[in-house]
Amino acid sequence: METLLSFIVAIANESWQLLKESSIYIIFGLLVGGLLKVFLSPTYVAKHLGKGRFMSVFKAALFGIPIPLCSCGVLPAAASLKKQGANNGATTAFLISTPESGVDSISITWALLDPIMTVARPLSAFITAFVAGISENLIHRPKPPGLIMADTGISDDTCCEDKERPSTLRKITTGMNYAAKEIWGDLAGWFFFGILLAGIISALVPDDMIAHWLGGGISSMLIMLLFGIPLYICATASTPIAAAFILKGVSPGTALVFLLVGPATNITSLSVLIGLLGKRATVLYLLSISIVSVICGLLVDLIYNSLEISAQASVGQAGEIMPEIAELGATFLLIALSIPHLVQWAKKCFRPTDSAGCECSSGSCSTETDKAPPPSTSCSYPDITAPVATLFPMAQSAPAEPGEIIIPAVKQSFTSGSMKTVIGSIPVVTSDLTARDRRGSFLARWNIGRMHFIVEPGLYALGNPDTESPVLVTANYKMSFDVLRSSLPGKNLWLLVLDTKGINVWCAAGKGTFGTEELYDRIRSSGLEKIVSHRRIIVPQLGAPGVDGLAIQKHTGFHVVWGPVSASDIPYFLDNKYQLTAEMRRKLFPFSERLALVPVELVQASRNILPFVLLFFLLSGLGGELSFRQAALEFGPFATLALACSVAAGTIIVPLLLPWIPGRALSTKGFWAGIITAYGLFFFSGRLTPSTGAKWTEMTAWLLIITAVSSWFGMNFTGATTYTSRSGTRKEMFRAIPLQCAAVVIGFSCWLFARFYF
Amino acid sequence: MALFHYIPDVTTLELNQELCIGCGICLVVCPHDVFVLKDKKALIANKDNCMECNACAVNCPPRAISVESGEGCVRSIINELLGRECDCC
Ligand code: SF4
Ligand code: SF4
Repeated sequence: METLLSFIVAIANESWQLLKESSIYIIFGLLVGGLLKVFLSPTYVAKHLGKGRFMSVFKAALFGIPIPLCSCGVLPAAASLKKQGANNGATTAFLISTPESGVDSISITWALLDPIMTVARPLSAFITAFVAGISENLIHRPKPPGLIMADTGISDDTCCEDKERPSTLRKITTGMNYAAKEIWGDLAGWFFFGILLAGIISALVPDDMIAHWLGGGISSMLIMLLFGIPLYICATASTPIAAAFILKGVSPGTALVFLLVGPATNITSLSVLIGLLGKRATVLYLLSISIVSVICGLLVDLIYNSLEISAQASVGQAGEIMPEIAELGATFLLIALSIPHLVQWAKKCFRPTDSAGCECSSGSCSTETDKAPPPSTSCSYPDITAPVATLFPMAQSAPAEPGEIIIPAVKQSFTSGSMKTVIGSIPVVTSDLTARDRRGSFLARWNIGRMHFIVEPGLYALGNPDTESPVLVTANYKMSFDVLRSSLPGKNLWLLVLDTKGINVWCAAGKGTFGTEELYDRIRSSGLEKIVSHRRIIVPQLGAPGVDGLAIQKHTGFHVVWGPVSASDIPYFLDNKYQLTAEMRRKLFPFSERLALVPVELVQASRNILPFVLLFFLLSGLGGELSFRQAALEFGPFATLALACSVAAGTIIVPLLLPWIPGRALSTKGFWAGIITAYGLFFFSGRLTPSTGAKWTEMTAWLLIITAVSSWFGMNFTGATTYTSRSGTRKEMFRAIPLQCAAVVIGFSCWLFARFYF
Repeated sequence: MALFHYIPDVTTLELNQELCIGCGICLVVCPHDVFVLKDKKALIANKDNCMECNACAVNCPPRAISVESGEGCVRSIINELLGRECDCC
């Protein structure tokens, strides 16, 4: 107990020191970053890159240095540069120098490290970027920029306000706003995380251990590379950690390697890079980053050695020239600025995630990115394949001009070629899914990479359609698109993909994104009228809640035919003159579909329950004669097991055994599932007949908690089912929630009682 | 395989038979077999099957059907009760 407390105090103390020293510099960095944003827009950068093999790389690397974007934020920016004609080398250089350094991280380096590092960091970032870019361009000669995409419509302003040029004053306020909201929103969560981690390192890690392994020399650097490449951390947050490292005896060069590699790469951004630049370029990217970083690290160590400066001694010196009062003021200002972001961040951690079935989904929340991007503490990549890539997250995509025809990109990961038509080359897809398609679906089911699992909206050819071929309408959720095409082998059709923000037809229709207006716009902008001679479109029946078929007919001339619920019935539908059996019009909820929903529900529920597991561990450790560790290990594991069982009951048993569990309300089904699981748990852990009063109380507590939690998660499944009505859900909630709360409160009291009074 | 049955007697679905022209569109778009057509008029046959999806109301030409649609989802209802904007639904 004592030691635990003293650890916590030590960590808090270290973290507070770091925070105090860095605040003022962060604020300075943010201010400059905000100004840069308005005065150095990416469009401007793109315009000034030039076409040369060397000059463009040089400029891209240079421009990237001050821009404060993390390795996620830079991806859309780089994608946009590329679309505007920048060659691969310049794009690579920009991709490296931007996340590795920015005004914010430079100023915090000054605060927490020392002048040498403050110079070495951006300089090394520049060299790394330049070398990587040049080698890319030398090895693969850049093609002369072919067709340059139409103006991407990126404006300096964060909103689509007035079109006139904003005044300088206006620009400055926009910049400040941007700094406080956007830049800091992206960084705040990570920054505090970094500060905390640094505090933990300083307080807990024994000095000689780190100094032994990472004291300098090439082996230290290599270890750091292995550690830094997969790690995702932004430049600002990595600085306090590096400072803690140095204080523990890590050589400054090794710390530099961490500062360079940590922010520049991480596993997710690498996978996106492969899509953006190709495999070879990505390997080259990694190689140049690694090699140049290590060389820079060695050089920096050499400099320190030859000047006989100890990095340890100079760490944090800058803080001393600042008056205490200014530091404190800045710290409070920074904390004040951070509160809304941290609240958002915390909310995001507890936010429901998208379920493949439907409704309650962060999928739709994330699609609000185009309104206001959430602080991207975990990176939510904007869709880099979209025709209009935006540089800063707030920039908006330009809506189609009336009369303009938009054709989706012919080269997407799933397209197999193109087809010449009167309106241009249209992408062709086949009904065969590749391993890559399947892997994407699998990951999306587990809620990974769901948001960039998107098909560009517009018209696609399946097989070899002609002017008489039928037109099928679908959503731009890649999984919906894949299910559709793979159920149509040997057919020649047109596929009209609506922009549903990556959500399937059924959910999108409920939300209105698969709706009359979108369908109307898409018919117009896809050039469908010129492609087919008939006037008939097949819309999936599940889209009917969003689509007014008559209105479509009236305004576009296209007659809406309602297709079957399930894609597998489409061949029957096409072969039988658009007739369907009543069975094919029913939306059933079979086992396979329920099974597919389990992973998402499970992942989400586990995330929600995690804080409670920690709480139980903490409470388990307190009190009694045992030490904190012993007591925590005595009671904690069973608490974890019990909570895990309740989650499993609500999110696995309820969906899978849905038709067979008694009760109509899902909370009732959850209750029964909870009873059964609790029984199983007690039985297998030998606690069915507790021996003492304390044990009896504890088991009663768990019975209550497990059934309540299971009932809650069972009830949550309403968000994913295909048959629950809003009125019904409402009624069930008003009955169940009070009971669930009561059970949890009584159960928890029993548990506390058993833990502390027996 | 049969449809699932949820809580009975709650749906807000209403049909005004006077307005109905017997086009049968509601029978086509409803995913839960709620309607039947009898004597050129639609009839609500399986009222408790309705999941308030709104498909019939949106597509009925004379707007003879009304339903208070919404997502049957606990989180969205909670968000609504709390007056939260980022309704994740
Ligand atoms: S859609 Fe409307 S008008 Fe047509 S049958 Fe149904 S209720 Fe009657
Ligand atoms: S609201 Fe939906 S489920 Fe209910 S009757 Fe209309 S179409 Fe059928």
